[in-house]
Amino acid sequence: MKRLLKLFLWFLFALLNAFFLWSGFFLFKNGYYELAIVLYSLVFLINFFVFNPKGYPYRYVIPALFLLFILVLYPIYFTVKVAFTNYGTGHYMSKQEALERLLYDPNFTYVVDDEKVSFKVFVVYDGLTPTDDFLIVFKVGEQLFLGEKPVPVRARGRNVILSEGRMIPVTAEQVNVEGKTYRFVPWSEDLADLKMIVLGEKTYRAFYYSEDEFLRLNAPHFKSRIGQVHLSRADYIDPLGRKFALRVGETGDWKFVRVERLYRLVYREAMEDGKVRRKMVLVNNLTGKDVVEKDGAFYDVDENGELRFLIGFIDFVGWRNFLRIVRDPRISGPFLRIFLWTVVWATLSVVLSLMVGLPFALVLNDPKLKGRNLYRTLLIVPWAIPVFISALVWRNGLLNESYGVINKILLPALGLNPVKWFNDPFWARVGVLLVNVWLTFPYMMTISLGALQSIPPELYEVAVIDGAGKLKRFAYITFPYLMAIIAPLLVSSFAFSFNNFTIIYLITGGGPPIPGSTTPTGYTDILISYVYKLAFEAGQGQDFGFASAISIMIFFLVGGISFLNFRLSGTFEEVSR
Amino acid sequence: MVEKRRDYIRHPVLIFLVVVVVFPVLWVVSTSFRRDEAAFSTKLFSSRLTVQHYRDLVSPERNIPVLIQNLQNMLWRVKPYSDWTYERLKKAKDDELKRLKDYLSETKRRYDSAKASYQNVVNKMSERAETVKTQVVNLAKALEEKVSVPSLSFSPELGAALYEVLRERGYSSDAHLALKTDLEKFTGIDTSSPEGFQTAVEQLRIFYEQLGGTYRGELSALEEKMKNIQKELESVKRRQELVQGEILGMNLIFERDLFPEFTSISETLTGLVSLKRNLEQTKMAAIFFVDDEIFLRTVPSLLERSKEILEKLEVFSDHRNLAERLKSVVASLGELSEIDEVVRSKTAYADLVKAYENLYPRLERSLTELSNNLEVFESKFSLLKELNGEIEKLQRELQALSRDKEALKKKVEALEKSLEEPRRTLSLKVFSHQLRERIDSLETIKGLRTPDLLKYSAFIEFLRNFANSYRPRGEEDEVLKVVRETLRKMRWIEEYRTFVSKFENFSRNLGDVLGKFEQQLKDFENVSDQLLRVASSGVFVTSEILNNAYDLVKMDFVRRVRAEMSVAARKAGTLMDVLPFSDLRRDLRNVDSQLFRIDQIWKQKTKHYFWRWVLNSVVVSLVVAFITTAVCAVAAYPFSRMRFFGRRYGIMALLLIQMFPGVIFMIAIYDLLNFLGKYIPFMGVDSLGGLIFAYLTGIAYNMYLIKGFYDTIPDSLEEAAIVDGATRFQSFYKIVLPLARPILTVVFLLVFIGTFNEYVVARIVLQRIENYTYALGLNVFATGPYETEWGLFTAAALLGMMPMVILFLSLQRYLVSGLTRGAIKG
Repeated sequence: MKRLLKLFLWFLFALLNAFFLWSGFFLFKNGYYELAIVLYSLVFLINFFVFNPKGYPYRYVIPALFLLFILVLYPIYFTVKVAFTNYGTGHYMSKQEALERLLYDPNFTYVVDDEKVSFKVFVVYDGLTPTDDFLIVFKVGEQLFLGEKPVPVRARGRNVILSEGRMIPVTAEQVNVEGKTYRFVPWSEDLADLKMIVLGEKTYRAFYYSEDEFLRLNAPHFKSRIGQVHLSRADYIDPLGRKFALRVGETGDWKFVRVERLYRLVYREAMEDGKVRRKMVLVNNLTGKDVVEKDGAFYDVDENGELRFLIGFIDFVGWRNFLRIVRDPRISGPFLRIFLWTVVWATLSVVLSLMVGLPFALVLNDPKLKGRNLYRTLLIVPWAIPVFISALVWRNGLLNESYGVINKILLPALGLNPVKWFNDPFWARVGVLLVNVWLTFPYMMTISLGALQSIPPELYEVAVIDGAGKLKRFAYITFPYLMAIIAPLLVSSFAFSFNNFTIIYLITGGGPPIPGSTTPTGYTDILISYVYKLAFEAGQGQDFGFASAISIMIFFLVGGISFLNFRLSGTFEEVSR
Repeated sequence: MVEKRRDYIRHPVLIFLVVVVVFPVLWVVSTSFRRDEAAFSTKLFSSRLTVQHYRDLVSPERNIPVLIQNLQNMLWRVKPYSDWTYERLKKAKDDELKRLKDYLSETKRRYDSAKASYQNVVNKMSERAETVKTQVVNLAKALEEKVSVPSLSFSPELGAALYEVLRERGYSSDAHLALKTDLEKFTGIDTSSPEGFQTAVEQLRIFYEQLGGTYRGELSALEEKMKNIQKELESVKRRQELVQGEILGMNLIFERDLFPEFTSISETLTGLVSLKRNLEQTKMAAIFFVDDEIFLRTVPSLLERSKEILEKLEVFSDHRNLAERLKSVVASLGELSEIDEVVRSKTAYADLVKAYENLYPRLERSLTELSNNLEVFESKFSLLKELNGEIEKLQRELQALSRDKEALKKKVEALEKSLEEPRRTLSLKVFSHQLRERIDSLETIKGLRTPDLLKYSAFIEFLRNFANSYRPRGEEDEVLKVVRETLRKMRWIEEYRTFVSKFENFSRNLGDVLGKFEQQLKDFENVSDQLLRVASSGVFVTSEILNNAYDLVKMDFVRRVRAEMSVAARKAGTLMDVLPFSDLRRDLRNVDSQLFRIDQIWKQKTKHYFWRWVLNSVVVSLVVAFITTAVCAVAAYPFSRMRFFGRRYGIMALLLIQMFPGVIFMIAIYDLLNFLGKYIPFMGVDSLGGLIFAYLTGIAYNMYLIKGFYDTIPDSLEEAAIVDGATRFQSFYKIVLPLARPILTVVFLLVFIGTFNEYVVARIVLQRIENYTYALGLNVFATGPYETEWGLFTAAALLGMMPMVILFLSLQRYLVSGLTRGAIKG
């Protein structure tokens, strides 16, 4: 029994190895080289741990390692890498993919209007409903062609870039295509007369023909189920090699036209350092000019010699993203503002919530106070409520400028004017601080309570004997002791506030916006919400590269603070014990 | 510490602070039970309560609009009806129809109940018409007593005030009657006849004007005049600016065009002059006769013209440069005009003449241009002068007028001040007189029907008008306070009137709408089977009857019934509090709740996915908590028990890395999920699998927590087991893990709470509204069309926070000790 289990486990392990190796290969094939390397090194480590008796302790760590590698180390690597690129709106794909798109994507074609092409679509019906099994009969000039459903020839993942179908010349009633015999019923050279095409048991019935009033009724179905799905990225190629594709005309009618690829690949040779160098370039078939590659994008040159943006790709840009923070005045100004506000926000959050929490802790620390557990429990409630709920309640119910309780009931009752909590920079900042203090003072209260209880009571007795007053006792015993204990917690609380994205995002969304900035910035934005806006809010275009650069800066800032904190709190010693 | 604290101070302060702190929670709780629209209410709490929001959230009722839509969907055979058989469809349709009919009869039943209660209220109120009347009349009489008119002292101001008060009330008869004695006393004229009244008024007017009553008219006339002058001034200024611009343009012509031109001409001419001087010294006599006719003819004429122009030009000192040039031209021409025979006889004379003839047209054209320009310039100049003069004149006028105005204003203010006291007294007098008359007319009211209510309303309106127009004496005016108080006491009458009229109005329309709806249901029932049969044979079918019914519910009902019905319900709620007859409360409450229920039956409600969101959150949180706990529990073991390379700094490094905020990773993880999703759909972006994957980042901290607990389990237990033949893994699995159950539970729950509360990562990963977690879903309740639907939002918030708060509070012991553990030990 035991051996069987062991055998089974080994089998499982082998399977896992096989799976990892295959996925690594798969990743490699799809251009995720780094991830593939991460995976392979992981496989290597795992096997090492499993087969080497000295690696026994590591075997326990394997699942954790797996998650850490994929979800922590790889993202860090990725962030660093992206920080040196222009990854973002307009620059989504690798250069290879951009080239492929230019060469094969149907968007980069031009229409050659030399022959009249008409077509008729035939489909197989399932009862009353048409299926998407279809054939197309073309008439180019006087010649009839049969086209089968196109098959994908180039794809990225599940996204088809290009599919192709062959056009088979039709001269007689029966046509043989790769062993299949299509029979046209009734046989006619005229598209209008063709009723159906029979293939063995299957019957393709006339479905769409633009000249036929009755068949035109099927146009919506043809467009949505066949045209957009199967034909929008498809080329039909006739025996002469001419390409035909479905295009929407200026009048909105869908027709097949002869198309040509706009670009072709050419190698240019040039002398460099006395040697011949070959360089890959794209040539525009219409103008005959070379496509220009500049700043991580391809450009067409038009008659006036001006550049026209074609497609962008991810390109290495060196330190540019970091330099932008310093050099571009429209970025550095708001950035400095955001940075300063982030520091002010984190500091004030800690200080103010301690100022609110500590008095509560001092009062509740008195064991003679009746019902102090009840008080404590009630005061902890703001901390216990999920942050997103409190944030939404504050934003929607309390701070809302026109309906909110504060503006509508509290301030008028005190004889004050309503406050623009979301549109005035100063009050927006006050608002988010208010909410954050409300949320975090219970934490401060709790840790202060814990710390207060660890102060030895003898100290107070001695102090009382020495005649120290209340204030003196607080200043010379309570406060220093307290600070020594909670200082590390305050520092980590500072680090947490520094990156407290949820509050800012849910309450003001960073707003009100700072005018005159090229990036999406607001007066209450902190660095992390700035990063989020840069990366994920496509209003002004995503800029992953710049976002990553700022991320790395945050990384070092917070990392430094945390490192100091570990030194302070003695976590290092504890771990190494 | 021997000290006594005073609990009677500490407790109230603490209680107050606790209330302030938990106020948002109290607000959430109270708002979630409110029946009125809290977002638009000016009150913090309401007594009209309901659990409807919770019902809408937890099990949304399939009310009338939903049912009709379902029926339509059945006919259109959209999901989920697309593959149902005819029999199943028919049964479902019959069910829905039955439900609709039930709702219809429920509406009727509830309406009847509301109507009965309403009738009851109206009847009882009618019975109490007398009581109401005496109450109102008593209030009014009390008011009348309170309104004491101070005695009037005779003074010219009294006359003026009399005149003003009478005029403001349009010399109406009741004002006249009220003030008759004063009027007669003041003027000494019997005013019983219209003529007498007129003469008296005329006399008052004279008084008024003597005292300065005309000042006001004068002031406004003056202001009008000033406005006109201002307007004129503006238009003149605009014209002046135009001219000024043109002059600047002309200056440019003089400087840039004519000046260089004349510079070159004058230089050429100087050259010619010196040529002429040299001629006199040459010896060669001319052989041929030189044709100098043009020269001789034009030089003098040009000289004349130049002189004329120069004279004009010299006036403008700004053009001195040009004038200098022209002067030199004149001088040169003057010299050239003096040609004697000696010169004419010289050979080189021909050269001079030729050169001059070349220059001459240019000179002539330039002179013409200069003189033209000068002419234009002169005319512009005089125009500018004229306009400037006008501007100055107007400005002076305006200044004078504004001085007058200030003086007048002061006078008017003084007059107003002196008139204030008598005016207030007189208007009080009129008011008390009118009040007496109104009370008389109030006393004639017999019942409490609509016309009677209107009369009461008119009385209230009268009081309100007085309160608005009356100028109080200082902040604390007795009269005004009393009037306001009386108004407040009578408010319920107006509330009652609105309640009655709204109820009557919507009742009329409701019968109509219900009748139509019933007919439509019947019609549909007749054809529905056939329609359904056709639909299930694959043909697209619609039902006009259903469409009409849907329109009826969505448009007619809302427009003709709902608006007034909800006002009636709201007023019923208010009346419960303000009506002085407490025995009617039960009926009013019934009206309120029945109408509210009818509204719920007919109201189109927005669709939401509350349970779906909760389920998503719970599933994701459970899976994440389970995986994280399991992985951490295993991984922490060697860190606690074994020695190996990397043990010392491994966790440290991880803890440091963990300090970095997750949002930063999201770019990479989003990219990764995007890639995975192309091949493994359930792990992609916008899938729960992907979200779970993205959440599995919180390893290090939890590992650290668990390791700390393992450290407290004595080694000897395991050693004993190993001596007994257990493997290392067995000793971990069978001894350490069970002992560590408390910390594992805590970690599990912490991760569960943390994941449940997470917002950002979910926001990035999830897109479709059905896939939302609870956190995202709640945001849907707080934005867009829901922004002011606080009932639903607060109910959802409360339902979401309750379990989390309870969980948190029950865990707080562990949490606190975990937080401070490291710190206090160090």
